[in-house]
Amino acid sequence: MDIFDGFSIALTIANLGYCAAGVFIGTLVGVLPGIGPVAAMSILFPVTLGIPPVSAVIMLSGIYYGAMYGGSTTSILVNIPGEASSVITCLDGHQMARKGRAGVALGISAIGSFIGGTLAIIGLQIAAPHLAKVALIFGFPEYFSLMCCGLVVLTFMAQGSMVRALMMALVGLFLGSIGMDLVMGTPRFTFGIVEFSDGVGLIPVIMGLFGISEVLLNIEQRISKDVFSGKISQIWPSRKDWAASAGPISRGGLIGFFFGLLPGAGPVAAGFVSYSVEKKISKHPEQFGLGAIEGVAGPEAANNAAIGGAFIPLLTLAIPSTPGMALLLGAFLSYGVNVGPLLITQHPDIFWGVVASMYIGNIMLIVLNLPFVGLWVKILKIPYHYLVPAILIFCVIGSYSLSNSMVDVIVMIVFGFIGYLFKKLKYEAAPLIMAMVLSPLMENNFRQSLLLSQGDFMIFFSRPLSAILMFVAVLLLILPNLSWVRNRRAKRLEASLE
Amino acid sequence: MSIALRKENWLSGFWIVCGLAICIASYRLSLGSLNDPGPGMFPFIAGSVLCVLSMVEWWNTTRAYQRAAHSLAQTVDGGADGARAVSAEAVEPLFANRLGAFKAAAIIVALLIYALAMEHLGFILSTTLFIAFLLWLVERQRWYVIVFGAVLSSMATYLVFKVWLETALPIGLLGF
Repeated sequence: MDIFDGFSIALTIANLGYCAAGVFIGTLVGVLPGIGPVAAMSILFPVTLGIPPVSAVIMLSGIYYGAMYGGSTTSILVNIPGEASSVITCLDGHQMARKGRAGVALGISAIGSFIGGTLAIIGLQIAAPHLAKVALIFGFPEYFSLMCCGLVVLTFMAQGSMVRALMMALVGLFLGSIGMDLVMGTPRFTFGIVEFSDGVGLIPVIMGLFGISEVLLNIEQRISKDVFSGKISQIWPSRKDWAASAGPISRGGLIGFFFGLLPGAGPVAAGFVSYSVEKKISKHPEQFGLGAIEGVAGPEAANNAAIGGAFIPLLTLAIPSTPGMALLLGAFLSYGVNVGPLLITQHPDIFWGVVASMYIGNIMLIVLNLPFVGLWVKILKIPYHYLVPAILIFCVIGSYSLSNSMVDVIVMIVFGFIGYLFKKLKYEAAPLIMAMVLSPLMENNFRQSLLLSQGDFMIFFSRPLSAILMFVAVLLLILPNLSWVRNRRAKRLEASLE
Repeated sequence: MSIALRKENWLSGFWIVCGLAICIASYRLSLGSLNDPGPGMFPFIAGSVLCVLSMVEWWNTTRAYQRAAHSLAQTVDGGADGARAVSAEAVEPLFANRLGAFKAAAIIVALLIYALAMEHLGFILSTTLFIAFLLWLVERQRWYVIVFGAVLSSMATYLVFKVWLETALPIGLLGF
């Protein structure tokens, strides 16, 4: 099977419909501040349980990369990021709008997103099958070390304290171990609740941590929207704009793709790195922050490319690098599809169908975001207090319909409150989610490795590949504690704040 | 001790207790042996590392606050007391907007009541009451907006999810 077979799957009427629904919902949640793509994916996940896995993944991924497009519209027109990865677009995008160039800013952001996204899909299509072949040599110890390394990289990339991020990962590992023990069938930490014997549901936890908590925070802080009221004209960039944006878009695409591969880096970091690279190499860095088109084109290409890149570790190694990918991993497991090195050989329809649908989705998105930009501006004007009941009720229905049980709803509400407190206390939820989804796989590989080595922990350090991964993990744990690294980080932070 | 440091110490203490609780519960499940790990071993390791990291976090924050207080003491008139007063003043309270925090808390309580009432009152009635409460609480609306908004949106949600998407929703004692 190859990409052409993928197109024959993605181009069926049903899959085109799911793809269109996904990218439309993605753009919608991207445009609306207060609900992100991960919350939207978790709300819609129950709806996908009755459809074929390939269609479900096409729709869920469409929401994820669609949100990257929509988020920039809000950043440019309102100066509030529609979702986290568009934060950096506010800086120059909104300044362009204030100077009467809102149309060009929206145009170049959609075109940059399209090119960045497409470059990453080409990368995914080429790299994933090769990486999957390499991953076939992985045994239990290598997998365990890879997951340890992934979690450490994720916490290393955390925006706040690395220790706190590691603590969140450990809480996630514990939450993931709730339920029936896989080897002996012993119920663990279920507190007598029958529904917990299959574990605490990942989707209600994600809905709580990313959906409910966001609503609570926005209500507390009151989102005030000052929507751009001028006329949006001349969306297509001029020749001069093209010349200024071509380099940033291609560099942004590459940066985004590589950042997508790293656990924890994802689209947010990719956008920031692309922005600083463009500012550093620009002949007129003083224009950045005042409406430089490069400051919109680069980061937008990067955040879209990061999504394509993030699919590689997910589909070939079962390692999610962002919370959205963790949700997709959970979704794959619910559909009974084992992701990892064997996915491309065992379920080629899913792999190639999803890759092909991403090409189609990107074309749909550019159509949705350029000619229909007026529609999104109208949606942006909906007051937030009308959205609150809708978001909360969708979350309740979504979590209830997972297993027709109020336990999932209560779990979602409790984690909504916990997520709200985490945000106030500067604890990140992403490591918790990723550790929670990896926990059963990690535990299984850990126990199998110890059985294999008859209790010798050195098995993780004596096999070359596993040793390299463990070495990287240990190095990353030590690095932030070295004083010269700490000083350099502090200086860099100071410079970025200036 | 500044308010912020006290808050951080309480937090670290909370995580240490969580870690210990996980360790004890895991130990009770049976740790097994290294060559045949039991169901408690993996969570036991997670709980132990959580305890250690909570202590590291406690140590890091205490040192960071001491350093900040020391540098303030050198720059602010009034020495250590002045620095303490300044650092306490500079700390942003956890819930700066009291009304907003109250609304957030009210929503959590309302969500819990909504979830518990849904199986008795049914989806339509409980959702109507919940939406009406939200429209009243978040940004006070006129009474007719609340009534019509709540009734129409709960009916619309029912039609979309129950009738069109055939999602399972609680029926309740009234049969809808």
